[in-house]
Amino acid sequence: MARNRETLLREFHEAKWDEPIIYEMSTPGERGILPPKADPSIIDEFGDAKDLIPQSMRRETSPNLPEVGQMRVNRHYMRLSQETMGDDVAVDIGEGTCTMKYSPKIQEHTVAYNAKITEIHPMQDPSTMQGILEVYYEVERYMKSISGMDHFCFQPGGGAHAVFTNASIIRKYFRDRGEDRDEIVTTIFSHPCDAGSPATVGFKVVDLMNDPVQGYPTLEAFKAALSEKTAAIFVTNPEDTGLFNPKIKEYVDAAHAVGALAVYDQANVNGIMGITRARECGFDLIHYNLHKTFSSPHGGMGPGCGAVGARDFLKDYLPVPRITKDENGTFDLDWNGEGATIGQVRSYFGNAQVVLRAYMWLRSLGSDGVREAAMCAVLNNQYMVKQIEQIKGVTMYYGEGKRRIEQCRYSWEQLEKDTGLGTEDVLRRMVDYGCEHYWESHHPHIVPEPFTLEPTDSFSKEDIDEFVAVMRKIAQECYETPEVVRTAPHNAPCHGIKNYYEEDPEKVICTWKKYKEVYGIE
Amino acid sequence: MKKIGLIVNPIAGIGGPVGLKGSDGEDIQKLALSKGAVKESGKRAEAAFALVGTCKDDILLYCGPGEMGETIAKNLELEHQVVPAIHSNTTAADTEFVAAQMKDLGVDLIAFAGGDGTARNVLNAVGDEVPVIGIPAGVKIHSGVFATSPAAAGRLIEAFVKTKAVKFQPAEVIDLNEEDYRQGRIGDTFYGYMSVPVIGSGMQNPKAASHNSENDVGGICQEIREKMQREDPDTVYILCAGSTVYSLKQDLGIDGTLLGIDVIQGNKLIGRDVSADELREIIHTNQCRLILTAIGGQGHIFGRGNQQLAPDIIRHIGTDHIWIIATASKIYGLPQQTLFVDTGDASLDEELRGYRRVIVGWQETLICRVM
Repeated sequence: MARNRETLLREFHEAKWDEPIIYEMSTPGERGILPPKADPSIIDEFGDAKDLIPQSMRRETSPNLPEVGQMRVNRHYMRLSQETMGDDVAVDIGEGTCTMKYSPKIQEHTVAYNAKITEIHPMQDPSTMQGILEVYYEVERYMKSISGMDHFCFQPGGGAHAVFTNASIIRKYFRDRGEDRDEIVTTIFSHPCDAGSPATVGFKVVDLMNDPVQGYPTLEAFKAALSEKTAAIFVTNPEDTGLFNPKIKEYVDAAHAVGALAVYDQANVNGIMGITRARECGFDLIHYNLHKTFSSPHGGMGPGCGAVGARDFLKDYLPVPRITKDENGTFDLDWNGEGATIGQVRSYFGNAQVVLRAYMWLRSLGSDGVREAAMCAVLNNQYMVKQIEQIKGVTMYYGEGKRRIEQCRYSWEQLEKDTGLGTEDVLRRMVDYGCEHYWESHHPHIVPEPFTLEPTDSFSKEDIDEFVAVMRKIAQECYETPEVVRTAPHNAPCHGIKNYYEEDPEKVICTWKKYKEVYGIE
Repeated sequence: MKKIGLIVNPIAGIGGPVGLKGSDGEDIQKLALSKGAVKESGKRAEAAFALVGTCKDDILLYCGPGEMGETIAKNLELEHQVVPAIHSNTTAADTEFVAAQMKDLGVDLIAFAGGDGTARNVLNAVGDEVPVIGIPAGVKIHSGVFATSPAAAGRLIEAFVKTKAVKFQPAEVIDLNEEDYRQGRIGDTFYGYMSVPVIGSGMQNPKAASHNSENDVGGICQEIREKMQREDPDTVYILCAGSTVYSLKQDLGIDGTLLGIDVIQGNKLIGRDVSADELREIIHTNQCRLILTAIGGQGHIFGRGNQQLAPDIIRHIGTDHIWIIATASKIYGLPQQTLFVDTGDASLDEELRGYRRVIVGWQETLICRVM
């Protein structure tokens, strides 16, 4: 059976295996691998490997691990993978703010199998890893060109970590200047880490409510938040509503006028790369998520990279090691910085495989291609907004008549009023049509019954049409056959998981020990 | 097994569709029916309870007689016991009578369908001793005890029965004087607090209470303590009404009031439930800080529930010496996230307007518009 050509809807059913927990598959003595004993000559020279571990760190009893052979382990995880949805099998437009683009598989093969990357170690002598250092150096060069910033660092392991790094730089900068500034200003629709990470560094957080008409704070409100105590502003633009603040430079100027620095959260720069740059907007520090915009698979907390960009006057504060290039073209690592550095925020020089993927992606597109990718992402979103906003029950908050850039936050508020079914119900039904569920919104849910969609540059018109058809169909079902939606999903391995289960300690079981307790297993 | 009470005010909301701005009072109800109004609240309650079907075996249902709940239980084939009322044609007294009996029966939760008037009746009968969920079915829905919709109420009841992840928090009961409202004057009154379960989102106020950081009363108290340490030790603190400020009073170990204004100095109570005149005397000789909160779901910081703060008193304290505290979720739940002032003095109101900081946690403030 092929997908219905008229409705674009699939008859889909996900695999269901009723797979046991791997501990339940354990047979005493069964093994996946039998590591060979060390050669006697090695034992003669180094002794028993166990003795290399300090006494205080050795465990007295064997760990309680499942004992399962390779074939059964492989089958177990293949089955579990069939019970999940991912963007390799589904149209993953729903994960708004996550920039779920296609990451070419050749990048994966290079990163995972090419010995030139898999067999190097960051403690090697730099002269023996010139290749990866050159990749770092080149990606830094491309990032500088895209942002206009003067220097980049790829050490942070993700976006919130990059914001943490930027907040640490700001703290040190003002300490060195002897200025007592302990507040940061952010906006309610900026990424939550723009408040959370600086708070972790020790800053007080001043959060700005959005203007109910334009969707982001007015300049007047913004100025009311600034004072001689403000160390920096941390703002996302476009915010997760998809609305771009075209007067951002005036906000930055207002921050500079009180002596504060300006930090641009560009975790998702997919709609504006090659079009508008942080430098021209006046920012002092920025970050990009290489695992969003720059094509590393994103999600599942996998390895990421929050690339931090800084202006010249903050160069010395960047984490070490810095990658350097001398006049002979030799690359090296500078571990000392110029003395002002905040030190290391992660071991060695970060997730090299993410930087390498970004390198491959950027090299394959070139500068014109990067700009074209942004334009495709924006065009896709314009097409999609026009379709989604016509679905009965959907409303769009803020910025009436204004274009959304690369994503949009919608609301099922009207649908909920009309049918009693809201965003949580709709998202659970999506899997029945072979779509991964969408993402609602960062907290707080000021936009009621929210959902956030982002059709990145990778999706074709047909992908978007299929996704929209699913949304339209579910909205129709909410009005006509609500029970079907309320009891969804029907075609997935697990049914009726409610969001509030996450908060119930009796329903969330993270360990085998707890599992045994709850289910009374001996 | 949870004991759930169901009370429907069958005439709630009948004044709305025929343009009567409310349904309080027998004359209005008769007028509404004569104008062709249809009783809708039962349907709304039924819509809510239809969603409870999946956990009906875990519920012991108590309901009011006939249209007050029994009919719904029968329609949905839910096992139930009927709690008797006084009259055959339901009045406010019946709501109170049934709710009081449910309290005596030890129900875990009362779900009631109605509007702000019905909420007041339930409040009169059970206070904050029995948790409630309001199923919105009236004309006026301003109180924070209501779910955002009948379906949201149903989901909340289901979650209440199915999960142990339930916290409770006080929510305001607010009502308009309908006669004033019909004359075009808005004069809403705060009547008290009832206890509501917090499970994910779903309550009218807070609209998005699901993250701890959005309900960080402990953090607010800590922030205020630290601010107090930076002040002159002789500073007098005027602590206003409301549940957030009451939590602060408890945190400071003060035997203060929920609905009144209390005054402390050096962490000692020097005035309890004070009047405007008593306040005038205190502020005359002391440097003061005013600590207040906004009314949930509505947003007033002056002019509602704290009328003791006469304009001359606010001026004397100084508009720069006001500390506004509120949970972030309360601010998010306000219409357009805006605060309001209505001191009765137009020029003072103008001075208080603009953008103000609201303390929402430890080292955390929100900048809000004041209108």
